Amino acid sequence: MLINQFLLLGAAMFSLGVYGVLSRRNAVLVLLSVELMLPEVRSSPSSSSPSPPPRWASGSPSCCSSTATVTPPTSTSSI
Amino acid sequence: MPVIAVTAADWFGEVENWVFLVIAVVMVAGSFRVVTSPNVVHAVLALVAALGASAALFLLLGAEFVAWTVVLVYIGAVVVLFLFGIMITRAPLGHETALSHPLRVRAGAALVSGALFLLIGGAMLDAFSDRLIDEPAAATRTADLGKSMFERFVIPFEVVSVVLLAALIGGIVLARKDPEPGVAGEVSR
Repeated sequence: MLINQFLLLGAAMFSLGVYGVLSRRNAVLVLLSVELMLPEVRSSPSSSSPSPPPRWASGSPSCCSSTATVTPPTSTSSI
Repeated sequence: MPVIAVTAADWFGEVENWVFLVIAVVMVAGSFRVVTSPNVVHAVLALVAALGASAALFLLLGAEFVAWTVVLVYIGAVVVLFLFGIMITRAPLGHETALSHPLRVRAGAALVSGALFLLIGGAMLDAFSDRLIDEPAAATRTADLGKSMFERFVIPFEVVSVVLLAALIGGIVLARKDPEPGVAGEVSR
């Protein structure tokens, strides 16, 4: 599977959501269109994370450093 | 990551890509109905289809936990909340043409969203031209997800909970109407 097929699908859905936000008059429908945009933003990092280990798909900023899922230095981050 | 030139025959030869095509068609059709349907309830039900396809996409990518979270939170909670909100308040049910802006505004919106799609899609094509997803069937371990969330990202997690608390208080403030100070005891109109 190509990375791009997921990303292009996400781009299409995001654009449809933008169209809905701009063209709808009813507030509920504007919110629905926003809901349409949100999953695409979230699904893009999960499909494009390049290295195999970090596929927890939560869209975190460290998705592109492969050291993230190896247990992080717990001495500083444990509270 | 190996950069392999993928031909169309290769692409259509994989079963996963056919599954992807079905999911993509459902997703795009559902979201198109969300933004164009003249009926509010039909728009919400089309959103269910689009979000279900999104969950299926996560399953295809091997992110099981995220997929079921989408089903539980989005389809189970958010959509039901929308339906309750529509049916309890006096939202326009049935066919109404005033749900969207007139055609001139909609044409402008279509232009903007089409340009946005070309921009994002062009950037994606430029960045990841032929790259494949490596080992797509590998399931994400939920334990890894929880570990990264509660060890590395514990501070953002707590900040998000504070944001939710603020939203809760804001909702109460918006929804509650105090009676006028002079007419205490009477129910304000």
